[in-house]
This record gives sequence, C-alpha cells and structure tokens, in this order.
Amino acid sequence: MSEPETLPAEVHPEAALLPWYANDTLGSEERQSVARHLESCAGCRRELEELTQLKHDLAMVYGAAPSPSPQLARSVLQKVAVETSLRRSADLQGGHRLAAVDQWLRSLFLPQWVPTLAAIMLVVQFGLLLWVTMPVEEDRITTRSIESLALRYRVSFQEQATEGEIRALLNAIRGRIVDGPTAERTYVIEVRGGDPDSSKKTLAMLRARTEIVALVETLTP
Amino acid sequence: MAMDSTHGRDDSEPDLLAAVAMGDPSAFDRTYRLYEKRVYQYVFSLIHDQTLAEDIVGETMIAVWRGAGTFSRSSRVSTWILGIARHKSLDALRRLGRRQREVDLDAVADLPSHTDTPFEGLHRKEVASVTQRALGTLSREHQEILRLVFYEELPYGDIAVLLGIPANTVKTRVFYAKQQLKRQLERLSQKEPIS
Repeated sequence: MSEPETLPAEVHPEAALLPWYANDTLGSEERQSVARHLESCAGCRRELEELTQLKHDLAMVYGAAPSPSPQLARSVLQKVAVETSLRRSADLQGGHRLAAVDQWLRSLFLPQWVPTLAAIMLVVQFGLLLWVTMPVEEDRITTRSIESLALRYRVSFQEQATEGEIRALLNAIRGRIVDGPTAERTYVIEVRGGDPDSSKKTLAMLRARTEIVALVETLTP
Repeated sequence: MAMDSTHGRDDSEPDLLAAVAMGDPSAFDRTYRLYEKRVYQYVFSLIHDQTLAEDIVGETMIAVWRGAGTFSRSSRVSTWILGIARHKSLDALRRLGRRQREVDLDAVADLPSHTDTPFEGLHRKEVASVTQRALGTLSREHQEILRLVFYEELPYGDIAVLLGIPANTVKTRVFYAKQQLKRQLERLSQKEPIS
C-alpha cells in the first residue's frame, strides 16, 4: 500500500476527525471543536453526511456477513465448562482455603485494583519513612538514666600491685578505668549500674584490698 | 447530531470481563454471545477461510476466558478481544504462508430484513452488493480500517494500538480508504446504476 503519510493541504484538520465524530468516539474537547467547525464549513458537513451514509452501508454489509457454525459455540462453551468443573473439584480436594486465598490475592491484582494497591503501598512506605526518621524521645531518657547510675572513684594503686591483680579487682567490682593516671598516679574507676547500697559495698571492697589499693575516694557524680 | 451505534455501547462490559476473570462461566457465556459473530467476521475478513476463522475464534474466546484478568481497562473490551483475534489471525497466516486473498465477490450475503417493503429490500440488496464489491477492490489495510472505524466503532487511539501504528497514520489511512471506496462506488454505480 502506497499512500501519502499526510492529508492533502486543502483538507481541514477537523475533517480528519469526522469518521470518529460519526462513530461518536471523540473526546469532549475534540467533539466540540469539530462541532464548532461544522457550523461554518459546508464542505465538512457534506463529508460528514457521506461518512454517515457510508457507516450505514458498511453496517449493512458487515452485519449481514455469515455467522460461525453453532458447533463452534458448543465446543468453546463445553471446554470452558470442563475447565470450570476441574477448577471446582480442585478447590474441593483439600486446597479449598488455599484456593480461596489465592483467588482473593489474584482479585487484588486485577488491573482495577492496582491503582488502589499502589496508593496503599505509597502511604505505608511514607509512614515507615516518617517513623524511621522521627527523633525518638525514649532513647534520651534511657541514656540519661544509665548515666545517673554510674559511680566513679578516684583510686591509686600500691606500687607492688600487679596488672593481673588490678584487673581481677576491677572485674570483681565490675568497674573500668576511665581516666588516669594523673601526675599523682591516680586513676578514675567507673562502676555502672550501682545504687547507694552497692556503692557502699564497692567502696568497702576497694578499701579492704589494701595490698592492691593505696587510696580510694568517691567522686561526686 | 445523534449517531447510530452499530453494536450498542455497554459500559458494563469491563465489569463483565472482571467476572470472567473471577471464573464466572455465565459471565463468559454472555461475553461469548456478545462477541462471537463480531470476532468471527473480523477474523474471516483477514483470512477468508471459514474453518480456519472458526478455529481462531475458538482460540480467541478461550484466551479471553483464561486471560480476562490481564485486561487493563486502558482500551475498550472490543479492542482487547479484537486485538487477540488479530494477533492469532496474523500468526495463522504466517504459519500457512498464505498470501492475502481478495474478498470473494460471490460471497455477498443475503440481506434479510423484516421491515423492508419488497422494493426497499431489493434496493438494500443492491446497495450492499455494490458496497461489497467496491470494498473487495480495496487493499486489506483499507478494508480493515474501515471495518474498525465504521462497524466496530473504535476510537482512533484504540485502532492505533490494535494495528500498532501512530494515531495520525490511522487518520490519514481512513481518509484515503474512504476516498478510494468512494471512487470505486462511483465507478460501479455508473456501470450498474442502483434503482
């Protein structure tokens, strides 16, 4: 087929839309534009009359064309009936609930649900994003409470105390050196999770180990 | 200007197809009755073989039954179904390596009408006969596009998707197809003036 890709220059642009004006499938904007043009263009009105007549004649020709044989309908509908009964029996044989869930899930993915699903997914994602990026008040409270439970002691060790002994002592009181040594060879030991009672016990333990600890005093928190 | 609709527009067709997608056989039965003849005539116009056309209609309608869930509602149901039929027809033609045959000019159908007077009935037959013969001289592309616009009443956007061509090409093709048909009708009418 060899024909120009464009309409002849003398043809109005609206004339190209007349077949769809005649079959009533234009959008409202194009339809109104063609209707306005028709009011002032006798040539396009004649063309529309021809197209309307042509549509009528073609409907007559095509509408009278032969139909398929009745066997075709029987064969197709029978095939569908067999598939339906197979599906139903499969549903009854154990997979009833699973099939129902499957069918429900499939129905969610029918194209008309897809925009709704997409919107729900977007809202959920946005909510997650907000939740993750929001500052969490509880974190600060937790940190502060832990810090308030840490007790510190200034300690100086005996010159003959070995590193192993010092480590064992620190393990016993669950403490760790957080500062030192200073010029006076003192260290700061921190013991976490203490309360007033355990603080006294820790102090007593440190003072009792005179072979390791030369001096110990509680630091004001 | 009120336009006649050849098939009657039914906005519930997408819902009917949704019911088919859910496995409702009665919805499929209705869909089948609505489309069997249209699909058959369209397929027959492409391949001109009654047995093959029936096979393709059967395959098309089974594809509709099994694939109704994939209908995207971005086009009309008729465009979707005719698209499946067209695809299967072109596949069949390729498989058979057939060349497109011209419309059988002897296949002009009888045109019964319960309302016509004998004279009107005769006139309708003559008009239909001449129109059929004029159509037969057109290329396959021109015949197809005239059917899709004036009989299937599809929007130009849907036709563009169905044929896989730009919307502007659809418009120009219809223009030249109509021009060609008019020329042939005039030629045939001069030879055999319609009473």
